[in-house]
Amino acid sequence: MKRIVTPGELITDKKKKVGGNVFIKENCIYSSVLGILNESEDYVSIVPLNGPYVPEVNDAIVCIIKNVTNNGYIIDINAHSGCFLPKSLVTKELKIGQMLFARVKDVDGVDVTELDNLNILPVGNILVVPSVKVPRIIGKNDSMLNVLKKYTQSNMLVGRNGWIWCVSKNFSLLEDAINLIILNSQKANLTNTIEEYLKKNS
Amino acid sequence: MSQNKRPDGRSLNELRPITIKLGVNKNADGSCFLEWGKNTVIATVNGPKPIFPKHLANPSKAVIDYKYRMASFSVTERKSPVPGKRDKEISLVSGHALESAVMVEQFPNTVIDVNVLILSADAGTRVAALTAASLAAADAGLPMRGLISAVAAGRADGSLVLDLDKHDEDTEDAVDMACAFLMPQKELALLQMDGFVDKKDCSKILETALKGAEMVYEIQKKALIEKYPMEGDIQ
Amino acid sequence: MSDTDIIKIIGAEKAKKLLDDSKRADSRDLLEYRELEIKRGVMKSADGSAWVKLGNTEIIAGVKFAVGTPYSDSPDEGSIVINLEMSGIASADIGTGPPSLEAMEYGRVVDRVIRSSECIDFKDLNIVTGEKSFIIYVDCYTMNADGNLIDAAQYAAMAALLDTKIPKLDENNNIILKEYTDKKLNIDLNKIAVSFTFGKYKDKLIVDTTEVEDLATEARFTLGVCKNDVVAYHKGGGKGTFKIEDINTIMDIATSKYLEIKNKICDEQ
Repeated sequence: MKRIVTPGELITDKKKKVGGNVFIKENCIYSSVLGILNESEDYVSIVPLNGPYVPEVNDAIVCIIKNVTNNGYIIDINAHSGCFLPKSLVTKELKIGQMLFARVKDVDGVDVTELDNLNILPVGNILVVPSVKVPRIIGKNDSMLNVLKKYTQSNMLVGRNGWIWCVSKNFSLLEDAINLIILNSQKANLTNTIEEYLKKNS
Repeated sequence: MSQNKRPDGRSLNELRPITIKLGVNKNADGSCFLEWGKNTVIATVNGPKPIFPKHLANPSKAVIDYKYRMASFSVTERKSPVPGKRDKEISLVSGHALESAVMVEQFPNTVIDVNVLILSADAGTRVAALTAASLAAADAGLPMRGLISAVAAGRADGSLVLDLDKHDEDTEDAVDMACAFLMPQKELALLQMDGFVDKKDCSKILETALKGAEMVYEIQKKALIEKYPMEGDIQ
Repeated sequence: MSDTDIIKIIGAEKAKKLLDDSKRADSRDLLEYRELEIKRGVMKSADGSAWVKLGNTEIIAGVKFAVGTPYSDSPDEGSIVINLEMSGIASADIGTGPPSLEAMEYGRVVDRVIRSSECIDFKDLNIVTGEKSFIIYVDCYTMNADGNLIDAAQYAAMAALLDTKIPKLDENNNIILKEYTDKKLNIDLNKIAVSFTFGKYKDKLIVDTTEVEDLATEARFTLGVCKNDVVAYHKGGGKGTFKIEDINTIMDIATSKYLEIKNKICDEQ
C-alpha cells in the first residue's frame, strides 16, 4: 500500500534494503523528503514529490548554452551548478540560448564534470518540470510519453534534469496535461486518466 | 482570566486556529501561505542554487539565506519596509533553526533562499514564520531530517499559557518564550525568551512549548499529506 | 534549482520572433490586457488595502496613516508616500543583495501618477496648520512578478486608497490606534488617474508586457491618464527610443482604454 510520507517520519525499525531519500539512525529507517513510500517485506524506497535535480552518470538531459568563453561553453543543466564544455568537443560554433540533448558522462559529487553524446536541438519550446516527476512523465515503456505525443501532436525530448524540449501542434494542451501529471503523480492509473483528459480536450 | 479561559475563548493550552496552503507561489520551488490566529504569513523557498558573490560560498554545505520581513501595514503603527535590527536578528536565528532540519551538507557551494513576509501580525510572528518556512522547504522537496515546528509558550496573568496572543503578551507578568523544535526528534532548534521567571517555571514553560510544537507538527504533516491525495479525480 | 534566467532569455528570444509577426505567446493582441482582478479590504491590519492580479503578476497594497509636521512651504497640507517592494517572494531570481533600483523606479512612477492627478486634496489632510498633518503611506508588496508591475501597482495603490478609512485622533491630535472615524479618505472620483505602460519592440507598441516580454522590448513608456488629460509621463526600460508619433499614438490608446480600467479600480464590489 503506497502512502505519502513527510521528512523525518519513521518508516520502520526492521532491517530492510533501502533506495534513495531515506536516512538511517539507530537501526531505524526514516524518510528524508516529502514523497511516496514504497514498502515491501524487505525493501523501502521513496519517490520524492518535488526536489532539486541531482545529476547521475548516464542521465539524458536537455541543456542550454549559458555563456561562451575563449575555449568553451558554460552549460546550464538546471542543477545548482553548471557544466563546462570545451570547444574541442563540438564541431559547430554554438551561441547563447542554444539547446542541446546530452548524456552525463561523469560527475564529481553533485557536479557534472563531463557530457557526451551531444545533439544540437532545433528551435523548440522548453517546458520546466520538477526533475523528480520525469519518470512519471515518461511512464513505463514510454507509455505516458506516447500518449502525450499522440494527442498533442508533439515531438518531445524529456531531460532527466526536468527540462523538456518540444515542438508541438497543441502546445497549450501539452502544458496543461503535464501540469496535471505533476499534481497527480501519486495517483494510480494516471496514464489512462491523462489519456481520457487529452481525448476530451484535443 | 476566569475559569481558565482567555478573552478570545481559548483555554490555556489551546493553539489559535492555523490554516495552511502549500504551493501558492508558482515561481518558487516551494511555498506556504499560513494563517495563525490573526497572523498572516507567506514563505517561499528557492534553491539550492549558485551563490553570488562567490566568496560567500561554503565548500562544505549550502548556505541558508533566511529573510524575515514584516509588511509596513502588518502592524498597528506603520513599520518601515527597511529591515531593522529585530528583523535581522530573527532572520539569523531562524536560518540556523532551519539549517538543523535541512540536509545542507548535500549541496556545497550553493545558497537556499528563504523569504518570509508577515502580511498581518498579532503576536508570535517569528514562530508562525518559521513554521511556514519549514513547510515551504518540504514543499520544495529539500531533503530534511524533520520539520521545524515552532510555537510560543510562557506566562500571562500568573498562568502557564501556550501560544500567547497580544492580550497575553501585554499582561504585567508576561513571559514570552519562542521555541522551535526539530520534529519528530523533539530537539530545540530555536529558543528566545523575554521575561522574568524562576527555573522551575522555566522548565514547565518548555514542556508546554513542546506539547504545543507536537500539535503544530501534526497540523504541518496533515497539510503536506493533503496536498497530494492518493485517490479522487485529477485536480 | 539552477539560476533559471536562461529559460527567461530563451523566452525573450521567442517573444521577439512572435512580435515580428505581431503575435504573443499567450495569443493576446498587442494592445490587449491580461485578465485583471481587484479585491479591496484584504488586509485588516491596514487602514486600507487591495489585492491586484494582472495575469500572473500579483501585488498587495496597504495604506497606513501617520501624523507628521507639514512642509514649511505648504503648512496646511498633508502628504502621500507611495512605495513598491520587490523581494525574493516576487521572483526566484531575486536573491541576496541590495534592493533593486527597478523597484525604486517603479514605485516613484506610481507615486507620480497618483500624486499629479490631484485626486486627493492634500489640504484635506491638514490637522493643525503649520504643526500637524496626516501622512499617507501606501506600500505595495509584489507577491509574483510577471511583467507590468507599474500598472498593477498603480491599480493596487489606487484601490487601496479608495478602501481607506480615516483614523480617530485623540485630544493631542495623535492617532488612536485601531480606531477609525466613519469617514473614508476623500478622493475625487473625477480626478482618478490610471497608469498605462507600453513596451516598444522595433516599430511596435505593446501593452501589459509579461516578464519575458519586458526582456524582449527595448524601451518602456508609462503615462498617467485621467479622461483626456495626461498627468504624468515616464520613459524608462532601456536604450530604445520613441518617436514623437509614438507618444501621440500612446496617448490615444491610453485615453481610449481609460474608462474601462478606471471603472474596475473604482468598483465597490
